[in-house]
Amino acid sequence: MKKLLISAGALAALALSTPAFAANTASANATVNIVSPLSLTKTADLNFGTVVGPFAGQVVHVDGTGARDCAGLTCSGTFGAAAFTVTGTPDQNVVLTIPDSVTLSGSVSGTLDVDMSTDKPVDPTLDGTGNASFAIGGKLTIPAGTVDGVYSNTFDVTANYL
Amino acid sequence: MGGSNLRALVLAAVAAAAAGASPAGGQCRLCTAPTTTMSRATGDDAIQLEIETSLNFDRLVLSGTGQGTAVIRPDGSNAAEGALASISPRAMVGTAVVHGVPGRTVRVELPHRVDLYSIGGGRITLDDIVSDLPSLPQLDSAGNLTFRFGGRVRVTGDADGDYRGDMPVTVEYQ
Repeated sequence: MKKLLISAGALAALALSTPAFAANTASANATVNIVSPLSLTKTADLNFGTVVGPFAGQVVHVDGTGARDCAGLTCSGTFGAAAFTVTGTPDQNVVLTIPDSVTLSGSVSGTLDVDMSTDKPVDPTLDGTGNASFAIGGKLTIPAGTVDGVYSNTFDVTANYL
Repeated sequence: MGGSNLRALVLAAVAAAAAGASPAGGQCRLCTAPTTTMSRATGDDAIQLEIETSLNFDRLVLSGTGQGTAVIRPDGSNAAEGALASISPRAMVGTAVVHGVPGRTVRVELPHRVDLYSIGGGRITLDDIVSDLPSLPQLDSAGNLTFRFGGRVRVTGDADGDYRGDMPVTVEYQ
């Protein structure tokens, strides 16, 4: 009788010890943002126009809106900010890489410096059609003794998804 | 008399076992959005799963109009081929931690594939989902087990969009 009682008690204890919560489920997220390659197109050059001296270090300024300040010098001709269009996947943020300055080389001799550091655009966001436009201005310093001529050069602009 | 008393005792023990067994916690494995079921047991034998980082391919740039694939492996390495350019350095492997009884072996269940959807209604497939778990995963002396998981996405050239999906992960004691 005693042996049987012990067996019954052990059976009850074994049945009651099974863990109630031996499994758990959680949900992990999986994400990916797929975008088209960016396309960057220049639509206008940075142009200060024709500037007539005498020069003494004046700074001719074409800002990002394309407005020109001739600093008291006589200016004429076509002028404007550099303009670009960037195209890609809609609603994506883009980061621009623009140099702070560019050195123009004269058609006869000499160089002139253009400071673009204060006329850079904010990084654009592509619109609902995947497009954005931006402009770049600059400040042209013309020191005394600058030789007459056409001064020009190129500078690189890069656009990447943020 | 002795025989009937014995039968009554055994039946009472079985009844007690049936009354004492608590129902298993509900798990909705077939639901589209499985929820985490935290153990209601306060004892040390409860098993818990914590997702530390989700699987994130970050940004993939399409470089063509054909098909492309990108893979993130559990060791964190990655590769892209076909119409997809290289994977962003910000891409992240998924990580999770299991908490439970030290030394216990566990079984971890990951789906082999899931669908990811964009707001615009697009759908891409994340498949070949694998982890770095050994064949017999075991909780360490502190009752923890950390593992990483990755997978592969397949896209076609017109698949622009921000895609998201849920991956249900289940752990249980062996």
